Amino acid sequence: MNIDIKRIQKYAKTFMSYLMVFVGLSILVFIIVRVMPGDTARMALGPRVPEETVEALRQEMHLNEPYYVQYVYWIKDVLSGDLGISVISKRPVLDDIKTYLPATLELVVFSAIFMSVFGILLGVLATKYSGKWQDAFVRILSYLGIVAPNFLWAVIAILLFSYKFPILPISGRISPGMLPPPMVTRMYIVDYLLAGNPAGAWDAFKHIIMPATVLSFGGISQAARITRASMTGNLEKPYASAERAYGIPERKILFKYLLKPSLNSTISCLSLDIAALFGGAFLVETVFNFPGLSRYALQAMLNKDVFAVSAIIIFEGAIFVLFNFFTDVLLGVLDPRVRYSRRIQQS
Amino acid sequence: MEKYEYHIDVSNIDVSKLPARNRADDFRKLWYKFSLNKLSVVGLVIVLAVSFIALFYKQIAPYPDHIGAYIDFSQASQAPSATNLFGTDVVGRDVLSRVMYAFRGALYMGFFAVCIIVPIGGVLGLIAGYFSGRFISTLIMRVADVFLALPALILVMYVSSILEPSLRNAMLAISVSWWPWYTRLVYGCVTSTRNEVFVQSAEVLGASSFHILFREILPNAMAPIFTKMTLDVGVAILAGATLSFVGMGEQPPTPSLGAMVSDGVGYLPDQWWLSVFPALAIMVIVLGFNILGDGIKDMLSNEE
Repeated sequence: MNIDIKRIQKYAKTFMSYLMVFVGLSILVFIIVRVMPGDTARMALGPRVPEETVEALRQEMHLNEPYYVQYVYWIKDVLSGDLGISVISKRPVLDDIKTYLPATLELVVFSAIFMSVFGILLGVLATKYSGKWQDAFVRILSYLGIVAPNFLWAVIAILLFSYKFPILPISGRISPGMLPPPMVTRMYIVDYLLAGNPAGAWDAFKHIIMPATVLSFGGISQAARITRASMTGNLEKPYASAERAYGIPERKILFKYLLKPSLNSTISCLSLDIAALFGGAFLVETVFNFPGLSRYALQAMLNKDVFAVSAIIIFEGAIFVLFNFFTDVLLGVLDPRVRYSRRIQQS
Repeated sequence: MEKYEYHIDVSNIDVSKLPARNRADDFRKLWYKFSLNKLSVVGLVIVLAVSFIALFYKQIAPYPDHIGAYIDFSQASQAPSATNLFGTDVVGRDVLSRVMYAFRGALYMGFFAVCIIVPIGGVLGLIAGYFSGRFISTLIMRVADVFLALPALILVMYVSSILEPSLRNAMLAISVSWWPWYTRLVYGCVTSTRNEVFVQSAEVLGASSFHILFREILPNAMAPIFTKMTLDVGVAILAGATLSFVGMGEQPPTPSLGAMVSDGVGYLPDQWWLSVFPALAIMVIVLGFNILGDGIKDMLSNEE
């Protein structure tokens, strides 16, 4: 891989445009969190606090100054890590995020792996057995995944796997009675393995497998659908026919030569879905009582916890933007057509 | 090899004697194309059935007064039976009637959310696409990008949490976060048809921008807009169900599908009918709109 200036320039330009989007996002978040809801200081402290304390908080939050000044102060605070004090837990919001983020991170990583592996696999299967029952099965499954809301699958999963066949636990991250592992990454499975406690890791895994699977359903369906569509589109391409003429077995054609070009749109779709997992996990986390960031966000919104809400929204927005940027780069790396299209246009 | 040449003599065509093109024929052609795929017809039937139930709720539902504050503990928590097809809930209300009434809220939300989003997003997309390259276009698309940078449900939930929980506010929340998709879609359509000959000829003839946008370009963009509208009704209904699942939609005692599922979750697995039937109802509605949307896409596409 040559590292040429043009490619780095292109990445820099993409990064700048994403940065602009992020700045715009911060303005939007600032508007909807500070400007709209009314008396911010009063909401942050609650209705029973005397007026002088509210006034003191107003001074401290610079609420009496014009909006752009407030915005500058807020951005400065965010960038230096001071995200305010949560009304509910009375702790700095940053600490709250640090506590709950790894749980959601674990969930999202597992869901992402499930989505990618099973989604692409199902899509390839549907192409291979196109027209037969496997194809119809995958198509129905993908319809159901798109159509049914997350919580429906969560409810069904609980019914099946915890009541009918009681093999999986339904709440929390580890069973009551188990000690949490020494906190290295705060991701329980990793930490258990690092501490040399495979039983603990297995227990944590049992707790996470249902939420992760339920969360990944929507993504699996979409990925399977798109993979199937683009692969069947590629089946008739000239290079595939040439490979068949050479006598290469169909299976090898599918997995080795057709897979990469078909993954183009699948990767865009998957990355959008994975990035959306952070926000969309709140249903699953609520049903499974999984103490993660999305559930924290939901509680914060319901309780009108101003600081926590603004911090979380901008945090998730930043993740989303970062993810989109990496996907663009990844697409450029994986698909030479994306990389060279501009060069071809220029020459 | 012979060369085939077609000679069509156009000098003697009498325009007034040609068969008139009327709307009925157009619709018949569209319907034929639509009905080629049986699944699409199924989708249409589902959507029509749901709408019928929602409109004629009073006449169809077995216990129409169970939607309000109705309590009858003697009939509470009954499994599905001949008298209560979907069973009863903990205060004795018939689940079937409540699900039927909840259809109204769901359809209301779906249709009106789309009716708000599509004009706003679409007009913005038209403007951005037609004046592409100028400042207003970049501004519109940047703002759309910013709204799209947030994961969908977060913005919806946040706007709902600021406003009071009600059906109308849930609709507003969904509209606020969904309009950029239409702007992007229409922008793409407009930029691709902007340089077509008919647009340029209209410009040369001095047509106003309004005329060009709405009577030249827009009709050519209707196909993807229509498809997306249908699919989005389903998505809006799903989002509404999610919102009411967490309590930000219609308030009790008005039934709403998501709220019914969330209320029933605590009674699993004994009183499974409390959650399962509303959830199935959500699935059926959204499935119907999805299949219908796919059918419309096939109908409006120009493939052979």
